[in-house]
Amino acid sequence: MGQTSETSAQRTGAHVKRAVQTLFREYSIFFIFLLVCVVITSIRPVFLSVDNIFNVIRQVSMIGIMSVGMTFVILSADIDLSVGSVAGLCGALTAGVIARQGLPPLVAIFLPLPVAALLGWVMGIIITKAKVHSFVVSLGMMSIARGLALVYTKGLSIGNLPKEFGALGGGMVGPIPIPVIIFAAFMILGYLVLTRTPYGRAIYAIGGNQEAARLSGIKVDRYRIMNFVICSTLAGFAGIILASRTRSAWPAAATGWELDVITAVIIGGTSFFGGRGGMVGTLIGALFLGVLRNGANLIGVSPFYQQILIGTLVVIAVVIDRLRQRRTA
Amino acid sequence: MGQASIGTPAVSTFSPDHVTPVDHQLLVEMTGISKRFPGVLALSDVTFDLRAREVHALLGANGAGKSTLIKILAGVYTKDAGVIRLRGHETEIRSPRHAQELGIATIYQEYNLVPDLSVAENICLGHLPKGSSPLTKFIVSRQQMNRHAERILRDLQVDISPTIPLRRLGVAKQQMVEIAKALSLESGIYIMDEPTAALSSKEIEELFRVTRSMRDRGCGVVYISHRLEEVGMLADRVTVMRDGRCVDTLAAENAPTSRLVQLMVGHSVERAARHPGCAPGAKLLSVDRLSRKGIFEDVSLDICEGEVVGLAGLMGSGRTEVARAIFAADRADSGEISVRGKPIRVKSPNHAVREGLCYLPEDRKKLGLVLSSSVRDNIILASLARFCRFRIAGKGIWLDQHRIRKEVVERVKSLDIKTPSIGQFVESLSGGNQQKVVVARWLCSSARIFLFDEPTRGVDVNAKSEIYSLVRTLAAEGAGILLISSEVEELVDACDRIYILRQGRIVAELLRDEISKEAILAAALTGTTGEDGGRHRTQKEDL
Ligand SMILES: Nc1ncnc2c1ncn2[C@@H]1O[C@H](COP(=O)(O)OP(=O)(O)OP(=O)(O)O)[C@@H](O)[C@H]1O
Ligand SMILES: [Mg+2]
Repeated sequence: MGQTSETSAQRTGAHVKRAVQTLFREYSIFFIFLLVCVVITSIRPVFLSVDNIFNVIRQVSMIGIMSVGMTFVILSADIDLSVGSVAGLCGALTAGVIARQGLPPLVAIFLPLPVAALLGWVMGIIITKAKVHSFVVSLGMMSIARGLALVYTKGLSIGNLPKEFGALGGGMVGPIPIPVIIFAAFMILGYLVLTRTPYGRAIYAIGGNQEAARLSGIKVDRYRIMNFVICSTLAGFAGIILASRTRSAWPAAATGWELDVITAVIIGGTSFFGGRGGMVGTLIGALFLGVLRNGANLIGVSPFYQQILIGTLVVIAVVIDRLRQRRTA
Repeated sequence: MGQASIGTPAVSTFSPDHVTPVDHQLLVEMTGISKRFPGVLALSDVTFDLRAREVHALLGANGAGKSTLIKILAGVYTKDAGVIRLRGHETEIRSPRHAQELGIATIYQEYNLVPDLSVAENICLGHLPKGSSPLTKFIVSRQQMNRHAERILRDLQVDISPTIPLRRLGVAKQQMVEIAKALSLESGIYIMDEPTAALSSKEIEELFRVTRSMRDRGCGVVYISHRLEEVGMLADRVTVMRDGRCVDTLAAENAPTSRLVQLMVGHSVERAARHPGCAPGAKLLSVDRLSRKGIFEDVSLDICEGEVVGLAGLMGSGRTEVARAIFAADRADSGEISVRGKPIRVKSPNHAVREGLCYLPEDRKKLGLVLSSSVRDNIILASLARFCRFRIAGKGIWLDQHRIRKEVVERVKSLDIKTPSIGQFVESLSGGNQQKVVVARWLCSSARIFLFDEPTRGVDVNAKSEIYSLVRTLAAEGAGILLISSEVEELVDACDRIYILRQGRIVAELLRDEISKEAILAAALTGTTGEDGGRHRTQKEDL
């Protein structure tokens, strides 16, 4: 519309303006995040030290790894409540095979992954073929996986695992904790899958309009099942890292983590109704959670208030999401 | 409509009877209206008015700003600049509700219906009839509501039960419900945004009849349409918009179609000459005695390479359902389908796509578009595999962004899709441009058999002829096309052969030399193509 007569300088200006607008619109939470960081730093400058930064990232790395898979699931308008339990189960299984069967840790950390994948696959099959809502199915799986962990451990914790096993969760490469590296790797991988592969584009379409996706020849069921397999497997892996970090496992490990994971994804601006959002948002969401907890600890805010803060943030994120939809509707 | 004193319609500020019977009384005056969306100036300094006792047609190419203008009048958008005067008084229209209270009833281009509510509930939504005693004041009277809805539907002569959920209706019926909803408000100003885009002749006639009677009662009607012949039949005045500006307002009698087209797009558009027939090649698709209980029966048809085959019929004749069954979007009960002579059991749309079929659904919003995705993602959705760069075991895993960009930009250009960028969310595009996005998706795919269900719904004249020339190009390249359209002229111009469905059965097959508007209409209405069948139609010029 009349852009032909604009000079190129004006056009560049318009481009920059549009980019900033998009950034604000799509990642408004990012600016809130920055603001919170600035506030915390101004009160406790130590917040910005390299050590503390890695500390924050390490603390959120497990939640972060799980939220990569959760982003896939929520983007396609599903939900997986079982991730915390699956993490607990896989931690217990790893610890168990090391302590009881004496398997070398390097083998043991991969053994439970097929179990997690299987649980995800079962959920996916029930959700897509029997057409039951994922909320219900994963709620069931949450209980089942926790029960399996209890059965396997007989309700007891498994401790005193060998030192080598601790490397996965506690080791460092140079100044960087290993969980942080794994977290970053999965984040990047997730980002690339979502933006650059047919699978990723299909997920957005499924979340945005499942019927339109189906009529375009997208294998909706298969992709949704795949989402659950990926989400469960990543949850299992996070559980193993947790076990390694504490060099022990207990059947109630990672209880309630599903809420943190979902919170990270939602704060990151992924729409609960599917179709909008992405990995960049989830990264910010996960970091935001970590920063809030860390900052509150540094400043000395009680954990009770932290809960209130995080809850408020979730509501703000969802309100922003609604507003964004209304503006374009 | 009569004295629908039901509920207490909040629209008490105006009743048509109060209009002083002076002709040319100004109901609405909009002056200097401007509206900017991110990246687009949708309206710039638009002036528009509406008098009592007139139908004022609003024309313009896709994205010209028609819907935006009337949404400002309907309180959906707030204007950036300009003045609105209603019956001489300057008014700020604050919300759709407020507009309703001011006596403005709107039929939106994109339906605003709630799929899970019943037809009656949808019609009465916002002014649900409540009981009158203090006890029942807060309780919706279902009975009253159903009666009210039924009366309006009967007045429109449509056969829809008020109690069935809206979800179960096809687009045409949804459109009638949307119309009934607006009519159920006793208003003085009616706005109709492409009410006929999804309708066939019978419903259009009813709509025209009702519209004329509203005009004669003293109401003013703003009427938007891309079917230019309707202007001559219905409108008193015409305003043409182009690129967010008002180009001209003229009396309908001095506005021949050619003039309107000239004003709309800035140049004349030749009505695509009927293409010379070509010898059809080998059989691409044959459907043998396909049936779905209670919907259609024993439908057999063939499509050959290089052929454009029409599927005509009235609303509810089963056209869409047949196409959906071929594409396996719905399961057929019996019948066989073969592609290139090889019988196949198509299990799912995905399977159909792999066999080289594609289906463009009639309901772009519900079945076609992913509104929350970009123009680019919507266009490539059906051809993701084709845009892949690296393959593992024959499956593409990496999208070639460069090629996607190049092809999408090309499609956007060739169909003239008006969008600030290919990354724009589809939901912010104008209705016609959204339709073009769905068309572009399938033109992009590597399908060989195209099932097009109303591909030009809501698309402007220029783009229409562009779409049909692309369809012809596809045919010339050896594709087979099944074309469903309610616009008989389009079928006549585009098709090599036409099947006619009536009440779920194919009642006639017209070969190239037999195709004519009269023959199609006769068969669709009576089931025979004979001469006397042709005489049955009265003034059903348009279908
Ligand atoms: N909510 C929105 N956000 C951003 N841009 C918009 C929005 N609504 C409309 N537009 C833009 O404003 C312009 C005018 O759109 P409008 O819907 O008024 O066109 P129209 O004349 O009704 O076209 P059509 O015949 O296709 O329905 C278009 O370029 C469209 O992309
Ligand atoms: Mg429009």
